[in-house]
Amino acid sequence: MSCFKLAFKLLKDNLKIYEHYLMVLVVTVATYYNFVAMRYNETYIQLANRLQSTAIASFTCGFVLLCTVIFFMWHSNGFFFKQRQKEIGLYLLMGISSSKIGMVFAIESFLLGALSIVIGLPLGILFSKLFFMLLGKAVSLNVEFPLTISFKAVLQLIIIFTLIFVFLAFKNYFEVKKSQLINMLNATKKNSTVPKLNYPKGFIGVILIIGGYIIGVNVRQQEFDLLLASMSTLIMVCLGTYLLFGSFLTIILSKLIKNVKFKYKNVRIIWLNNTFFRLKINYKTLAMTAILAASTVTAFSISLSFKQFADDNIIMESPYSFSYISNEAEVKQNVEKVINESKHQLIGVNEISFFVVDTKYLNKKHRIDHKNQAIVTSYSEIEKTLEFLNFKNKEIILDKIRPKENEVTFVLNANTIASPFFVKGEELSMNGRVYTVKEDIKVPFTGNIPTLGRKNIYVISDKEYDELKTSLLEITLNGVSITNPEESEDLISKVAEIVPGGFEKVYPYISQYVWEYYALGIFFFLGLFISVVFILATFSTLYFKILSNALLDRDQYIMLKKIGMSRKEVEKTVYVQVAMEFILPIIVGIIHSIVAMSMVEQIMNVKFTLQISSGIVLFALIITIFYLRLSKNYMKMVYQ
Amino acid sequence: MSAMESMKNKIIEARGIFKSFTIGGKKLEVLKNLNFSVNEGEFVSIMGPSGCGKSTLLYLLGGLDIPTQGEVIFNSNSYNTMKEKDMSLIRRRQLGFVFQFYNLVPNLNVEDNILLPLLLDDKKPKHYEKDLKKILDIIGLNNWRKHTPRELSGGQQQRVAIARALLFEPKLILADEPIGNLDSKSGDEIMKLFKTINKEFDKTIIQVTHSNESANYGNRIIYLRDGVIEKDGAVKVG
Repeated sequence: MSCFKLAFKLLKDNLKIYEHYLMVLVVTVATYYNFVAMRYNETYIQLANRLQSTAIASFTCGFVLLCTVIFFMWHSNGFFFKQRQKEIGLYLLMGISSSKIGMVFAIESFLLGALSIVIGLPLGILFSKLFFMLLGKAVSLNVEFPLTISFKAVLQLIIIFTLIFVFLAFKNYFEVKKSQLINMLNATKKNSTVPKLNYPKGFIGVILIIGGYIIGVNVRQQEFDLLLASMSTLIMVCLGTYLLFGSFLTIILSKLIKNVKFKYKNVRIIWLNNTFFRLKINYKTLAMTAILAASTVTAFSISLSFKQFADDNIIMESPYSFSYISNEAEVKQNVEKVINESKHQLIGVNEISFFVVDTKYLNKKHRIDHKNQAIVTSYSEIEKTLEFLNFKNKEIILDKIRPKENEVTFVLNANTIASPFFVKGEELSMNGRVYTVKEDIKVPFTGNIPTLGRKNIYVISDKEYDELKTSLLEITLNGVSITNPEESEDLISKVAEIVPGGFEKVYPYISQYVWEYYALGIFFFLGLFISVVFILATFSTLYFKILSNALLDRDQYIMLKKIGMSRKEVEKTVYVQVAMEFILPIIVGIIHSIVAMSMVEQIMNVKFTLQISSGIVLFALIITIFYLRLSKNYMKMVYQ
Repeated sequence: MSAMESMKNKIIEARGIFKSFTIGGKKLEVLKNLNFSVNEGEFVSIMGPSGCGKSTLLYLLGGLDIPTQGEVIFNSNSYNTMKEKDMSLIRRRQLGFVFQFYNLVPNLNVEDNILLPLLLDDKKPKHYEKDLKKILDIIGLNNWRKHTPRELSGGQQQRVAIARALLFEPKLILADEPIGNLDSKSGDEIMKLFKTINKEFDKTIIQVTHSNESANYGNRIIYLRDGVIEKDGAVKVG
């Protein structure tokens, strides 16, 4: 039989073993196609041309996606190789040369790869309609992403995946070629060694993680440098995680193994020893899983939050259809007249008055206000604006921000998406008076209009505002709400003719800021998309890794069955053992991600509780499904 | 069989046992209508050429497999009527198993390996401290109790396996080629240990073996050939 025919036959016979692997490969190929096709999509290219950050984000995502896929393939390939070592040994025993067996295995793994492309690619093309529909929805654009089969994408996918599969085929070939008969036959009899206890390393690991957390949760309070703080948190937590699984967990397990009361209860001794003795080989995978899980949950939750943030922020940036500055009654009347004569209908006008003043924080190193200037307005003006916009939770917000004498409420300007500075409780002087910042919030006021939109807003009590009125020049912004604001270009030109100062004092509806939200939409989409592949690849990698442990544990469980361990008892032990190797790193990852999200919350000054919770709940749900499936298969392997 | 032995109780009985496997669509009859019983205190060796069904029979007697037809009666209870859980309890408390490849948990030390059946039964090891010491004395490994199997020789490992089988004071010990993996000196030592356990502790032993020397340590030999009992008789002394 030729190598090719034999490889084909083996693949056919072993298809059941490859089931899960093939499924993940098919999904990966299908998603990767869509991802590449998106980058070749005309509408997307136009969008990316306007926004460099989108192009960078999609490139980074593509790279990370590929790395994850390679990581997954590498590990699962290792699992299959381990599972079939005995088979390889038998072929060698029968006198077939190692290079021929190597060739057969290489061809078999290549055929498997080819099969995943053959199934995955048409599936990807079939799903691209749905994919582009979702993309369109995510970016909140009323544009169609037309469905076309991108031959460039197909070609790119085939080239990249073929390269990976050829590489894996070579790896298999060389591994079989250099293998020794005796090692192959005794592959499952390898002994694990006692892990060494390293107390300093273990404790440094825990200290690093705690240190990273402390920096993370205090980034705003302590006003750490953002880049430095996030980098140090990242490095400390990653390093700490490796030491946690490599040394600290070893110490804990060794203590438990020495604790007679604990280990002898419910046959804990079995999973305790299995986990302990395998830690030396496994800790890197456990740490890697924890870090990947943290990235996945964070990416997923942030993506959800970005979407929410973008939706919430549009009203901050664009509270009105258009606005203009003027406090002359005649101008206002004329504007209304022009609107009534146009095809639009006037919904309402919100007149807001304020001053522009110089500000100075008494104890703050960083500059908070742009050019040290800010808008000062009264509580009633904010109240009126929130009423006009029917802003959500307005009662609660208004109740919270009502300033007393010598107090101000800080409202972040509409131009800044998020500020890392924390000003609540700070003292600042405005117009010769010292105020204490009572609250630090973000609500709509002027919108992101030129010059004024960049200024933070300080809300003072009506009484104090009236006192200021006598000495300062008051500005009035008229926020106009009309029907069909998207088509208001002609109207705006007419309004500009009426308002003194023309276009300098009139702020139309369509502004560049909208694109930033489209970008957030794309980030949201890419984030979700990457999370799905992350979850699939990370869990599958771990899945195969743990099942390869099952191969090593098989004899042990068969023996335990013979000496009277019931199926239920074996099941209990297996479920705990799998949880130790699967759930534990993921729980650590989730805790990391909560800290990461808290950092993002602080930086953006928003609470994403709902998004974080839904991210974690969804993740937990997927973990549970994987965990149950994994434990079931583990059980199948050790207790057939 | 002496008059004294015939008065002893039957500990296990095979009644009309058939066992067949289906391999490649073909039915292979391994055991055909086996009928025999073993009394308390006997040391029985099951012998026969490869593939005659010796190990299959031992597995059926230990409740690790079920016969295609017929039944195994242990201590007046038929395995056929037992649930998986009860079967596990019997294996744990009333049977002791010894295998050719020792079957110890490599990561557990000697003491924990011996205590395993106790732990499975949720018993407190501290109540068995005396028994453990006594057993370790019998097998001569008192100084090795904190070592793991990988630090022991094959003969020593097999002794640990025997100790594990003895801990629960089982009524019957089933051994599958217990010295098949050992050199002749270690093999002899193990068989002497079995003999002691049989004589001094009055344990019933059924072993599967290829070796005549090993079979001669017992007092009865059952010869199997092509799935049927060819001969069943006492070991000739001398």
